[in-house]
Amino acid sequence: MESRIEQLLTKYWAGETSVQEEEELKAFYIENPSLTPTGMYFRGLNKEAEVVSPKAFKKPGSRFSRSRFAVAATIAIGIMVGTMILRDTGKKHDFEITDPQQAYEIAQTVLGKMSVSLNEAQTHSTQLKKLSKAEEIIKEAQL
Amino acid sequence: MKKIATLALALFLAFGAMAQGEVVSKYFDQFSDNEDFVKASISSKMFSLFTELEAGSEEEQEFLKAISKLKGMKVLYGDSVANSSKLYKEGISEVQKAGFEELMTVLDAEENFHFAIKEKSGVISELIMVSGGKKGFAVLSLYGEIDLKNISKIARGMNVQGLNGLDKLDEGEN
Repeated sequence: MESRIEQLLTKYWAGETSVQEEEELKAFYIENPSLTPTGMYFRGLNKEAEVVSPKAFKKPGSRFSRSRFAVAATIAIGIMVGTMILRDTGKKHDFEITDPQQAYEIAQTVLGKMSVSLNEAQTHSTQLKKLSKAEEIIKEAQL
Repeated sequence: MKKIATLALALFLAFGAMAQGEVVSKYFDQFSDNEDFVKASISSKMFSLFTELEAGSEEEQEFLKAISKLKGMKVLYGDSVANSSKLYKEGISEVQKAGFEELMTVLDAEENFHFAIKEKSGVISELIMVSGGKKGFAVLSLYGEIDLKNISKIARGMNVQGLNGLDKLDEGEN
């Protein structure tokens, strides 16, 4: 056995061993712990092999496809937003008021009209409430 | 993933910003060549200019306070429209389709009007008014941060009877 290990070691240091032969050497030094540098070296290799990465392994292919999806999504969103902005910009320029004085007068007129209508609606609402209350009073009096 | 979420949020905000005033924009498209209607759009940039104005009278103060948080306004108005009642009904339907919540509707012999709002977390982001009379039809849209109390106060200091003042726009840019 010793001669077999010595032969394998000679091949190993010459870089000529197969994977099976290297496994054989590692297994030998685990089973026969020695404090020689060669024994410590092979046990060290085994320990290194047991180290587990803290992060899960991801296939390069899947990462690539996700990044492709992100690029495709970005382009699609960009096209949609761009189209909408261009379309909206075209519309805005049609009727947009560019004179501040005119814009101020329009804003005053429109808000004034809205204000009058809001107040009118509130008045109608109050009158309806009064009418409803009057109906209640009449009904109570009739009973 | 974070990038996609950020993009989705940006897209959502872009859609939201562009959706403002969409009902009136549809009418702009529909009546773009019709000279019976006055069309006007005031941008957020213009409203930001107004906030730099110094108010003289109390009425102006009320007005500037009401518009201080507005981001835009779109108006379509016609005072001599043949099918005004049909347009009024269609207008209400468009407002409902666009997801507005009805605030109030007044049916009057002279003029009907319908107010609707878009509200989120107690803040009104858009106020729209559709009005239809015997011959008149109007769709008015305000967007930004809207305080109805401040808007209702404006009328106290102003002598506003209607949108006739907009007619002079015909002689101007449009």
